Amino acid sequence: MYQIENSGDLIKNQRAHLRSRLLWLSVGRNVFFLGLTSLLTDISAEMVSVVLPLYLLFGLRLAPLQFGLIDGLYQGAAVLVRVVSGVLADRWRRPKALAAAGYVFSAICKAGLLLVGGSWLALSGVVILDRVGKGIRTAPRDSLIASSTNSERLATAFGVHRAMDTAGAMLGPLVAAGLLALTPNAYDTVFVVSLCFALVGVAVIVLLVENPAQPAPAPTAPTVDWRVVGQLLAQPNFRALVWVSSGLALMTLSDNFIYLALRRHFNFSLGVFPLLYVATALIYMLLAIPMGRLADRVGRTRIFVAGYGLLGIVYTILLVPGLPLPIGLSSLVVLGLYYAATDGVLMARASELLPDTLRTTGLAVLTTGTGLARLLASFAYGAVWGGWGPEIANVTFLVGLAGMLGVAALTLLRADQRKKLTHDSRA
Amino acid sequence: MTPAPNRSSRPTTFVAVTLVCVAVAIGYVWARQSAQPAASAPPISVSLIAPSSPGELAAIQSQPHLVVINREAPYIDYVRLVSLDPATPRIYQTTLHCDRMHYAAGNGICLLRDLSAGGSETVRVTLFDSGFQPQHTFTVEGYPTRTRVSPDGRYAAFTVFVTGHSYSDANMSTATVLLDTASGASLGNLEAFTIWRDGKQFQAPDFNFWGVTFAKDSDQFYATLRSYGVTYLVQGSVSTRALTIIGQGVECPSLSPDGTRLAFKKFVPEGKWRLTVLDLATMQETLLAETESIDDQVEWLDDQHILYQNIDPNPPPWMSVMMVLADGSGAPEVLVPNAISPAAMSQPVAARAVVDGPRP
Repeated sequence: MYQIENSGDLIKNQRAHLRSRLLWLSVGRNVFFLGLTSLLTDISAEMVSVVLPLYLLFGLRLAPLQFGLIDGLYQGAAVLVRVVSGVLADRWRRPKALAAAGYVFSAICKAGLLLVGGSWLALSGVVILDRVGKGIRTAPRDSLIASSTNSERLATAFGVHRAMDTAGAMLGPLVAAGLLALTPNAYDTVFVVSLCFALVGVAVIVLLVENPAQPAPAPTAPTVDWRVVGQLLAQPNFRALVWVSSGLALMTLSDNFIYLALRRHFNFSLGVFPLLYVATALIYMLLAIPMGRLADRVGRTRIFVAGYGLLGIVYTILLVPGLPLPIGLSSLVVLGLYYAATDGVLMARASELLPDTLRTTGLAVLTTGTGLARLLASFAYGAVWGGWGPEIANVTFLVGLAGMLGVAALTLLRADQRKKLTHDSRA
Repeated sequence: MTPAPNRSSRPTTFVAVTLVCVAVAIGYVWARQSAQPAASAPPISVSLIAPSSPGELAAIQSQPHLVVINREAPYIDYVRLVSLDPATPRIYQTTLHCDRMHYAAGNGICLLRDLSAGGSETVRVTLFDSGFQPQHTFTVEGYPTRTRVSPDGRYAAFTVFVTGHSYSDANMSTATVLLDTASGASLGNLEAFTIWRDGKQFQAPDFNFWGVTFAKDSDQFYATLRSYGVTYLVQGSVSTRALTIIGQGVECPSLSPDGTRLAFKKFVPEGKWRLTVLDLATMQETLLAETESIDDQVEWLDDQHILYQNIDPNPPPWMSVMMVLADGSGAPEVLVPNAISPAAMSQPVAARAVVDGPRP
């Protein structure tokens, strides 16, 4: 009896080991659980964001354009919140608490939707609070992913997280559509189920994610405050990464403009747009992990820069006159590949450069820079389009991107190379 | 990091929280589903509604009246005619089911979300006649928002929101289409028209049009165009398929019956929309007495009065047809409680014809 039980235990252990390797894709349970939190929260958020216009328009008889305006006005506030949250996470050395607080914020907002009723001021308040929650949690969460991961596997870890995150964003609208088919016009059903998803997401981060071990700060270490932003930007490697990635973001067209350019070629109906988003997201989801692994093996900077090279290929495809449909569609695959090669990989590269004690602040600064640059890019693209037409606008962005890629190769890749050389000569 | 003392109980707590959430979600959906009316509610027949004989329809149509969408049980979202004669208030209930509606000179248009597919991404557009019977119907992608019929009933225009939801950001765009009411044929999306600004052709990737209002000749019309966050007032012509930018900051214009003024919603720095009247001769703007934020394309009752929908301040707080003077004086008042989407069928009416509809 004793022996049989013992060997049973052995098999069980082996199986458990195998299972954990498969399940967590060898990135550790913390990353897996952070991914699960994002997956659940994205299901919750996306199911609300697809029905909110319907709810306003037909449940309350308000028009959602009002909402778009409010949303635009408060984008700036969310940016500020991001850096503040990063500094606080580093000062208190509690990234998990801040990330969890951000998720709790969003869960409260789902409950708020049920409670505020027809007042659009209260509703926009709820939406702003939701944005604030997102601003609070993003950098501490990415920082947790980095500190929970062995530095050789950083890009894989971010790949796993982004794949799960994207899966949630794709599932949310499906869940909402299913619920509305079951209970037509009962928006409260969508809000209640969304709240449940959000609460389970909060439970995952609060109960299952652990604060990774952090080195005790040197007793003389000064308190972290906003001045560290300047100190971080004074470090040449990190400064170069922020400038170059923001410069590349400045030459990045939003998905919408890429789909509009495709529409000029193929003249499909606007109703096809959601399908294009889904196609891009699907490719991104499927390739995020393989691209992360590749980045860990051949170098994150290389894959990141190559990713923007892929974006250049997308721009080039869009310029081909009389574009055949299969090649037009393949640009969506390349676009998904570009996301997989850049989004998580950039975070991985930054995490590796940043000191543990200031990582959250650094990530917040980086995403603020790229986010603002992307916003500017949309305005610049629109101005060029308005003045000289779509072809010139596309060529301008292609040339700009090529130039920025040159800068990236000269700065980031050369710095990488130099580091390697000194490393080799030392060894 | 030192483990919290209760760490071993965490997985148990997590399972408990998850089970509670799953149970609440399933329970709520189940409860809501069984509370839904069995199958689809039987279609409402005219005979169900007390004073609605064909003779009654003719009687109401012979006097000043409003055509509205009723928001009161049991005929929520069905078109109804309401007489404006305070002496003999009359109601005629039709069998038309609409989310948004307009009517002029014996021709009407009705936009309704098509829920038959389970999702809600299509709109059923129905053109109807003076007997409120459907003449042409078709579906388009999007969510209904604005619609108008030209004063002579020849053309109709409608705007739908076409949403593109994404994993990165939610985007909203509109499509505005003109129709020939006699044939039901589309005269094209405004985005396909030629757009002129300062004598030069104007192009941008993100044109969004909404809120068409027709002039008396039906060929000329006004609408709102937004591109890169700038809202323009455009004047267009159906026959030449051209649009000219003539102003800025005018949303959802509505032309007065005498053709001299546009009533519109103006976005003001406090972050809300104020009802405003623009004099087309002087380009002078006048803020109206309604101080709440109004998101609607208004309807002129006559040259002095403007109708729009807003939340009735008196209980029950639901959308009602409100009326305010077009010169900025006076105060808003409820004209028809629990109704939206007014279309005014009025030879110049003696004002203050408030109808007290029954309240639940």
